[in-house]
Amino acid sequence: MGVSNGLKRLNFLWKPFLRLFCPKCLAVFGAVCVCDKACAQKCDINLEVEVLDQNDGAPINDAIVSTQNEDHEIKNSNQGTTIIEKICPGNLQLTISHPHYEVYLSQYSIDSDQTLKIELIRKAIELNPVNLEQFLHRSQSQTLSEKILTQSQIDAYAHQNISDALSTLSGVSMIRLGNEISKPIIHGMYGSRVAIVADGHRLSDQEWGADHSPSIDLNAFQGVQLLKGVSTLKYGGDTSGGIIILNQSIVKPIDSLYGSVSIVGSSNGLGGSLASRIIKSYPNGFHFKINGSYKKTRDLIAPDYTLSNTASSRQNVGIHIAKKTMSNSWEFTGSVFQNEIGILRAAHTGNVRDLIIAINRNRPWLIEDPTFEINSPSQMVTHYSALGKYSKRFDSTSKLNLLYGFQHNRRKEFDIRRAGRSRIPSLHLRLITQNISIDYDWFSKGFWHFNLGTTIELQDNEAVPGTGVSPLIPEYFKYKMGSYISSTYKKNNDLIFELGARLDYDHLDVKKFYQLKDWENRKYDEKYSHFEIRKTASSQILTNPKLDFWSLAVNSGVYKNFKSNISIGFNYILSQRAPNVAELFSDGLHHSLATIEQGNLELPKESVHKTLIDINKNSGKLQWGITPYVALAKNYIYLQPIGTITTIRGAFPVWEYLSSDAQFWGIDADLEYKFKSNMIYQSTVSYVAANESKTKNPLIDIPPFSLNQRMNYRTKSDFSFQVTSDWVAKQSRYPETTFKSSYIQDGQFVQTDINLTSPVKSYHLLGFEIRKKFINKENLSIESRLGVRNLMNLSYREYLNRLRYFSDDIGRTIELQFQIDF
Amino acid sequence: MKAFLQKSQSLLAYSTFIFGLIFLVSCSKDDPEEEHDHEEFSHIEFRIKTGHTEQKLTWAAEEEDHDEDHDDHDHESHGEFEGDDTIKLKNGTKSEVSISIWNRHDGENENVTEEIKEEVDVHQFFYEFSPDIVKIEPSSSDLKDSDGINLLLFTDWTPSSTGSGKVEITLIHEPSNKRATREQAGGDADFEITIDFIVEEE
Repeated sequence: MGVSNGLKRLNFLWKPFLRLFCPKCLAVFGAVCVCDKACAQKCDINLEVEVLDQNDGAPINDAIVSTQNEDHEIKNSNQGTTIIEKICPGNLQLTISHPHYEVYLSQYSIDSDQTLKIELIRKAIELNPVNLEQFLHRSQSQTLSEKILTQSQIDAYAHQNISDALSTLSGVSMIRLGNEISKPIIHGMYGSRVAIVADGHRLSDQEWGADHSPSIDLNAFQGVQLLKGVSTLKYGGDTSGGIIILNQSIVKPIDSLYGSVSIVGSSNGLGGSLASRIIKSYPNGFHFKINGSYKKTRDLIAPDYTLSNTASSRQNVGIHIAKKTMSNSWEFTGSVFQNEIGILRAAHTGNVRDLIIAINRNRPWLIEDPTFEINSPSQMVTHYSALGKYSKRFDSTSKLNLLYGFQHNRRKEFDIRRAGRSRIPSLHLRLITQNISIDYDWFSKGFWHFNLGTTIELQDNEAVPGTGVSPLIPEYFKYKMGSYISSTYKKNNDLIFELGARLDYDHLDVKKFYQLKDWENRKYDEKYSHFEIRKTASSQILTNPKLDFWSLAVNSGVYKNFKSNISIGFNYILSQRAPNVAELFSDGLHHSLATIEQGNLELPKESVHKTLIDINKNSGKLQWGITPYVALAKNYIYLQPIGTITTIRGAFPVWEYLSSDAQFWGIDADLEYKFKSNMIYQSTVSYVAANESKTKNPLIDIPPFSLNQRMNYRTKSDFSFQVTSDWVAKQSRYPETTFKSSYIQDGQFVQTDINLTSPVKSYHLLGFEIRKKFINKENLSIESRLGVRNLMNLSYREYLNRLRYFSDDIGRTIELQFQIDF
Repeated sequence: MKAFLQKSQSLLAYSTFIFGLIFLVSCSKDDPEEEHDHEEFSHIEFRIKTGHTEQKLTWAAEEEDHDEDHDDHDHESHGEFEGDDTIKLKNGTKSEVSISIWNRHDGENENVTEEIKEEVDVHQFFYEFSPDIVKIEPSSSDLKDSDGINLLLFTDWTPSSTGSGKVEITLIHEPSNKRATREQAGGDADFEITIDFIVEEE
């Protein structure tokens, strides 16, 4: 034992010598020594190897760079650069490996000091999309943890809409109008404060309204990220809530043809959906992808009754063509999305008396047999999108990206009308948006990364005439220009600083008819007489408001990873936002809530100062993250009931866009515990509160506390079982917006108080999901998923569902899905 | 850093070019068309014929801006009666009451009553009195829907005692149950007007 230990201690003396006799080294030795010249040369060549991402040119850290001589095996960490010293002249076989990239293997002839730039190709596991999450989401935020939806989560929401899927993330809730119309709320903020970016292109689709769903199909994308912080500046400085990034899968430059088909059948609404995509790629980097989806459901069912006129249909077709090479890349994406949604018939109210009657009933006044037919009230949205991108790499450290985007959004809203006019939209808006953006990435040799750019947006909204109703949103042109710069200083993976700023200029050129009396009563005739064009015979006045806003955004962050695997990120965000057109100029009746919505021409720009602390523990059986945050808003804009107005139809609550200073605070928390490698518990918690600063009154439309839990068990035979529990508390913080309504009932003159902001009861929904992979071959996999939502068929109403006055939410829903990847 | 600044300059040049181009092509919108609102009623006329006497009340829609007082959360604004604003009835005497609905804009005088008559199957008038001292019956000239239910556009009012109060007249669109009370009828209100009435001794 003693001799053995002694020999081991002398390893450093004899092991290098023995290595000379290994077959590989003997071959190298022989090859080198047959050449006198080479043998005479000294092994003093230094080789610098820069390892870059072929897709975007970003340096890749933590790659293993090795030569055929095993003495040279180095893990790079300094902005993707490795220096290999003391190399002998001659042929050198270089191998570079990284867990998220294809292995690189090549031979070089080395005779002097030189620098090699190696571009690695990201791995793309097309046949097993569940694994896509590992590398699809290239980290964009350096100082805040990113929240992502995995491919399996996206698959589970193939039959739902994008907001349903997003609401599974901590800190994200939904504001809804029924089941099919919903939009995400992040940290209590929604509308223009939350942007959706698809393929690098910001979605423009009349996103201001709480009753407008994003005009995009989640099935067309394979990755979803929720971003906050410096990395959002590229897409806008007005997103104090956050930005949702939708990504396509990465395509390998090989000759390949593959795709997937997803078929879903749903018990509730007896609906189904079909989504498919097919991708053809070539070794020269050229590829194209075609995707399409179709969904149709009949009227949905609450536990005790049918929700009449809630049928819907949705279709989407898209094409993506691209060629990506080492030096440059271009891509074109086009899509057509159409969504037709029926709105609960009983929610179409004529006046506040109808609303009171609806609130006092437990059931909708109209319950009919379910049908696939969609009648008024309804919405039909068609969204066309075309996007061209070009990237040029000047050298390994810099890259220029150009983007041009075109979007055409047509929104038609149908109300119950007389004399066959129900077929004529009461609201018909056509919004054309064009975006141009130029941005430049630069990686310094040191630790810096800069990204700077300019974006231009042109928007043309037409209130299409012939509706027979004064348009809720007027005609306008909007020009928006912004420039930004963001920088990241990454000394190593444990200490990162970020800083960025963006300046935006908004110009609005609006043509709008005001009622002459409104114009004068609000004293606009004194303040804005220069906007007046002419008065009409019907007591209206045509005006041409031209408004300009400058907005500044500043984001900064620092991230520190401690040895205990606990990381702390700190971010400060200043976000300024020009009021949107709806907030300034809305003017009309919303039948879905029997409300008159009014904009306010005098609204100033909104400023939000937000501070987030992100603490995460990233390893071991127990992983967790908490993100407390505080936001102080100046001139925060929100829509709230302010009183009633009586028209010939009867009395209506008036909702007006108000502006006041406000405070937000809250916490998001995620927890994951691995009982075993195949048995995982996950939970997310979200809490947010918001007050008006002066009055301390709670703000309207703030999501209540929620706790979502998942327990997942997976066997080796590709079978998994998951139990879900979603508990949503009663909102205890809400504004008192009580107003009185009087009417005659049973011969008595009755006066009633009505509060549209009072909360609903808490609820707890259970569900489960079973997945089983039947076929799991190299070229074909088939997985089935059986999912049940609202397992106990509970009657409940959601606080942020604007149809909560009229009906319960939907009852038990059983979904059977087949996912075929080929 | 020098390379970065050089690249930044070229980026600035690109940006300036595109900004300039945008401003060159920017233009202003044409004046939009004024929308003629077919759904709203501008005038509602009530003709009350008691014996040889005929009374006419005209309610003209007129919105006042709600924004005059932000602190008052219960303010209301009304249309107003042009002239007489109280229905005068005689105790124990039948009065024939008819309603006509008009949409008057830019000199046009559209009689919306015809639309209501054409869509008798999906419309229903409701009358609610406080105090409940007036009996309502369909008049002989009233219309019936395909189920034989009267529209109550033309009605006979017979007071059972003297007094004064208010009557709420509502036109409901697409009621689910025409025979039910206003509370239970479903549908949504096309108009709802509250009018003072007085019942005098014959």
